Amino acid sequence: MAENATGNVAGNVAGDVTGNVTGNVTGNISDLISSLNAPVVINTVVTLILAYLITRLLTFALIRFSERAGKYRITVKMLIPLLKFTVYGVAFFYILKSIIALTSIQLVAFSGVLGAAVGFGLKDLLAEVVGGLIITLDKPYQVGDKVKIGEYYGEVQDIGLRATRLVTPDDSLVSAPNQIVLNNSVANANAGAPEMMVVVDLFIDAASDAEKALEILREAIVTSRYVYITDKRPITMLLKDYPFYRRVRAKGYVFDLRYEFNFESDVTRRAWEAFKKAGIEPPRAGLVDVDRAS
Amino acid sequence: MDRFNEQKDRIQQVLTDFQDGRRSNVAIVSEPFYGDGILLDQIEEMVYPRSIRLKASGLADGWPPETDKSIVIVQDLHHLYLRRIGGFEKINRFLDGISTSSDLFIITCNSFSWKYLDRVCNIKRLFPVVLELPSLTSSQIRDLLLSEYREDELNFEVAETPPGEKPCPVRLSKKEVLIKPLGKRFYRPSLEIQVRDVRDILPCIGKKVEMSSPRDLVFEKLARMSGGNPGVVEVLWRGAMEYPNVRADMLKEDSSGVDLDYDHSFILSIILSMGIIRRDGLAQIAGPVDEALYVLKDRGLITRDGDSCSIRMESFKKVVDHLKRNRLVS
Repeated sequence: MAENATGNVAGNVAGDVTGNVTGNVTGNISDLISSLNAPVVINTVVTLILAYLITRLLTFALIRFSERAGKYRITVKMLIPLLKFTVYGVAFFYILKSIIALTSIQLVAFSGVLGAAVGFGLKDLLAEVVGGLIITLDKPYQVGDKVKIGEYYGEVQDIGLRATRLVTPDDSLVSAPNQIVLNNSVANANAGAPEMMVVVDLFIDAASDAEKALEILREAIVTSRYVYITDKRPITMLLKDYPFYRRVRAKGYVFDLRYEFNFESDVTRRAWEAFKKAGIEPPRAGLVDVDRAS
Repeated sequence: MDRFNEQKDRIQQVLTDFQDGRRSNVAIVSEPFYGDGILLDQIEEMVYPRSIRLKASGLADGWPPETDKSIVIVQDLHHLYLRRIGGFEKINRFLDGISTSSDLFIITCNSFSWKYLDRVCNIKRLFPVVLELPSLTSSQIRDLLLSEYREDELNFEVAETPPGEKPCPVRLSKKEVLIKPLGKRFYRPSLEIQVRDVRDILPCIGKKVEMSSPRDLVFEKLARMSGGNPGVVEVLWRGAMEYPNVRADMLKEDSSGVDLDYDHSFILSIILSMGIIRRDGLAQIAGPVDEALYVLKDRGLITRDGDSCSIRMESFKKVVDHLKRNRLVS
C-alpha cells in the first residue's frame, strides 16, 4: 500500500513537472515565434547589415592605415579580426537582448533550439566560428603573415568569421576554413614581424671554388636591396657536400615578407653573374636531386 | 662656442693612452652635413705633427701609403665601399691593415653607412672608441647660431599665420615682463581670445598650441625641421634671415610625406648613406638610375651637381624619416 502510494505521488509529481516544463518551453517557443513580427525581422536585418558595413568600413580603414604604417603594418592589421568578432558579437547580443527581447526562459528555449540546430546541421559552421575565435585570441597567425595552411602557402589577407583567406604567390585567393587550425598544424614564416627568413640555395660543381662561392653569395645577400640585417637577424652561410656537386646556402631576412620572391630572385641572379665571372660552374646536367638536396 | 669639447676630451684621453702604449682606434660617426670636418681640423691640430690626414676616396687600393706618422686620420671612411658584390674589397683591405698595424687610426664615417658596415663587416670590433655626434637641441642651436651675433643684434619676427590664412582667434603666447628692481626679464603665459565668428575656430582645431617667445619659436622650429643636424640648421637659418630680421614664417615646415616606390626609396637610401655619390657609382649598385634620379630630383629630395648626387638639405629630415619608417636605414 505504502509503496503504491509513494509510486502514485512520485508519478504525479514527475508528470506535473514534465508537463509544466514541456508546456512552458512549448509556450515560450510559441511566444518567441509569435514575437518575430515584421518590425523585429526588419530590425534584426538592419542590425546585421549595419554590423557588416561597420566591419567593412573598419577593415578598409585599418588596411589603408596599415599600408602607411611601415614596419607596424602587421601590428595594425592584427586588430581587424578582433574588431570583426567584437562588432558581430555586440550585434548578436543586441538582437537577442533588445530586438527579440528574450526572457531567461526564452533564452533557455532558444539555446535548446540552437543546440539541436548545431547538433544536426550547423556543427561545421560553429567549428569554423570557434576556429576563428581561437585564431583571433591565440594568434597562431595574423592578417599580413605568411603561412602554410594545409597545402596552401601565402599571405593572410583576412581572418573572417568562417574562413581565413590567403593570397598565394601566384595571386590566387584561397579560403581555408578556420576549423583547420583546430586539428592541423599551421606553419607561420614571420609570426607577426614584417621581416621573414628566406633561404637561397645554389648548387655548384664539386670542382669549383666553394670558398669563393660562399663569399660571393654572402655579398649578394648583404648588398641586396631587399635585405634586412640586425643583430637578431643575422646572415647565415652554409656549405654542404653531395656526391658530384655542392650546395651553398644563405639564410637571410627580407625586410618585408611581400618581397620574399624578389629577394630570392635578386640574390640568385646577381650571385650567378658573379659566379660566372669567378669561374664557378653549375653542376653538370642531371646530377642534382633538388628534393634530396633541400 | 665650441660644440665639440666633449669629443675632444675623449680624443685627448685616447692620445694619452696611445703615448702610454695602449691603442684605441677612434671612429667619429655622424649624419651627412653634420660638419665633422670641423672636429677633424681641431683633432689634427691636437696631434700635429705626428699625424697624416687622408680622404678615403683617395685611397686607391684601400690602404694609406707608408709614412713615418704614427697617427692616421681617414676622412669619410664610407667612401671605401660600394654596396654591390665585390664592393667591399677596399674596406676589407683597410680593416685587415688596421688589425696588423701599430698606428692609431682616427676615422670619420657617415652614421647610416656605419650601422650597415657594422652589420656586414663587424667594423666596430676594430674601433673601441666610437664618438657618435649627437643631434642638437633647440637651445644648442640657439647658442650655436647666436654666437656670431651681438646681444639684440637680431630682430625675431613671428608671423605665425601664413599669407592668405586667417589668424587663429584663440592664441596662447608668452609675454615678456621686466621686473625693474631686479633688472630681470621673464615670460608669462598669455591667452588671447578674439572670436568674432565661430567658424574662425574650426581651422585651429587640432593645431599645436605654440607657447614660445618669438626667438624660442624660431629655434624650436629649426630643431624640428633639421632633426638637430647642424649643417641643415645653417641652411634653414640662412633661408629665414633677412638681416637683421629673422622671420619664422620663412621656415616652412613640410608635413607632407614622401611617396616613392621601393626601388626609388632604395636609391635614396644609398645616396643618404654615401652623403655624396656619383651617378656611375649608383648605377653599379642599382643598375639604370636615370629615371629614379629624375623622380627624386623632381620631388625635391636630392640635388645634382654635375654627375654627383646628394640629399637636398632642406628635405633631409623628411628623407630620413621616410627611410627609417620603411626600414631602409636605421
